[in-house]
Amino acid sequence: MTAPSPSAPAAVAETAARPSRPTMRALRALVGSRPAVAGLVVLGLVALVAILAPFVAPGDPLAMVARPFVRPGVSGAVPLGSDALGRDLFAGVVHGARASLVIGLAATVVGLLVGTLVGATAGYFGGRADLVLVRLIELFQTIPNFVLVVVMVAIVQPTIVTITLAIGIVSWPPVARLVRAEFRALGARDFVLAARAAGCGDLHMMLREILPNALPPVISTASVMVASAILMESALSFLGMGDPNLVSWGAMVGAGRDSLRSAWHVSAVPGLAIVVVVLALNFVGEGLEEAFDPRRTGERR
Amino acid sequence: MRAILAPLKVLAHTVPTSVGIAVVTFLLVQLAPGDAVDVFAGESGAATAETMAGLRRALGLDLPLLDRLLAHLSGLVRFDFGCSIRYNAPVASLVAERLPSTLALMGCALALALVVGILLGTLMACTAGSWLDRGLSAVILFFYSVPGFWIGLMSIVFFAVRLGVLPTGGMETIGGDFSGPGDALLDRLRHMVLPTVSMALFFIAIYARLMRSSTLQVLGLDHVRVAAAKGLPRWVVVRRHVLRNALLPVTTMAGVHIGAMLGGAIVIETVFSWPGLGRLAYEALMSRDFKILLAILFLSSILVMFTNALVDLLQLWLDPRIRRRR
Repeated sequence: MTAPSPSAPAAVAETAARPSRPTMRALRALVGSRPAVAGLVVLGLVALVAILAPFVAPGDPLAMVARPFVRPGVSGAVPLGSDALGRDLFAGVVHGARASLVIGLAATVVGLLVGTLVGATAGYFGGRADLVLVRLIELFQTIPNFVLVVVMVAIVQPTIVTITLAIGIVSWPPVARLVRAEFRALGARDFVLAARAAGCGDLHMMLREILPNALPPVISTASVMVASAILMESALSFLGMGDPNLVSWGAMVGAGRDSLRSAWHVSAVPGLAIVVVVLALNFVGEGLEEAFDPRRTGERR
Repeated sequence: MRAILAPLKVLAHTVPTSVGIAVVTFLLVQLAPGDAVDVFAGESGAATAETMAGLRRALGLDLPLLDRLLAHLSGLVRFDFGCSIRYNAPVASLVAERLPSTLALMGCALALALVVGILLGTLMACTAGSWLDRGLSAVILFFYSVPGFWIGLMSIVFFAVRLGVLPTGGMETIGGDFSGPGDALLDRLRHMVLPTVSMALFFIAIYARLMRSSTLQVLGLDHVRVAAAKGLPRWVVVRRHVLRNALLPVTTMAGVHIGAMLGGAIVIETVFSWPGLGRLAYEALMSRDFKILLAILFLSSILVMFTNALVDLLQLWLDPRIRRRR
């Protein structure tokens, strides 16, 4: 371990300045990207509707309120039409936003936490710990994600918690790879060596010195992770493996399958909701990726 | 010497992974509520505690955890997944029966996704920044965001119900009267169009994005500039000097993509009543037949593992730089 004593003050100064500048620049770049801003606006609206669901669409979204198979735009009471049981599709879409957003966000948080923990441990300590953890990452990248989610949820019964955990468990490996690579690259930098020479402990080094600098690429994947978590949840509930007590977009699409010939709008409407939210998340994801990686924006021009 | 050692290393790498897969499936079996004896007791309608204990002893279910793990491993090695309660048949033969139709569907979807994705990605990179690039990027992002089951259902509504040009599902026209083998093949192909396209869209998006960024990277390299300076037409430069180099990153993730496709097959085959592994998984899911689910999980993981090994070997052979690094 070499202590770069002459350059240590400069290196410490560099640490202090580092986290704020690129983040600000990235934020400015993000706001400058039109698709990303459009995505953020859409997501904000959807989140607002989800939070205010009991006011936007009062009453039980699973209750019969109209004749079955009312087409969209025909009745003012059910603007998006009704399904085979006379349930209001608009209320379903509004309340379904809750399940999609909550599961998507919570599963991503689980994936980020596990992935960061594994990746940071592997990248920071290296050696045998790294060897074992890399094998673990490879193992989880070998087992097909969605198949594992389906099997896990089928075995432990579908509830909002088990679905979230199952999706989180399959989505951490890419995060772990990313964090591991960042920790390995940053571990050899001067400001880290300076902190080590100053006698900082492992935990301080990992959390305070390296992690803040390793986060940008992780943040830019988070949005795409939420998108894929929402897609997985909707596929799961489409297959009838969703939480039976929740209104979910995927389950609504699945319920419309039986009347596809006569009333295809029952499947089309909730599916469109999924597309809109996932598309918005991916727009934001692209914006974040470009904002945090100036090289890519450079290529574009 | 190195020429032999490197491939062996790749193969040796599969050993810990396959053990890991086996352990994960075993843990999932332990998680499942009730064991085979509980199921048997439920099926037969009546069983005393004594007969159940006797059965457990006979089946080895009262052995310590480690012994059961070893029994589980030896079963997997022999591709013995036990018997399905619902179908009253060995799980292995059920799976083997369904495997070919899934592989056919996946093969077609993968081929379609590769061809279209690589073409679109190259086109986007060569016209980077133009309106064509932007427009295609938006379309690709849409493909990337659409749930496969929904686009499948909507394509049934449009092409099968409205236009009536393609069948709604299944693998062949039941009771179809074909004059020759050509007609039967055509019928089979017509049934494949919608599921293949629905499955491929997401992967078209993945490959187009991958190809766009890797082509852009290669386009900036010196040898490409030299080729352009020689006065070679642009399409010759792209085809001869760029495409080859840009293709490498597209192949690295093939294993992960095969895994994602197997997951997608559950949903797509359910939508189109395609009699493959995915449809079997759905049926097993509906009847809570965990043995079938675990067998499918195990087999699909093994498939991904071998794809990964194959890709590693292929790259070893294609790219001398990787060979030297090992």
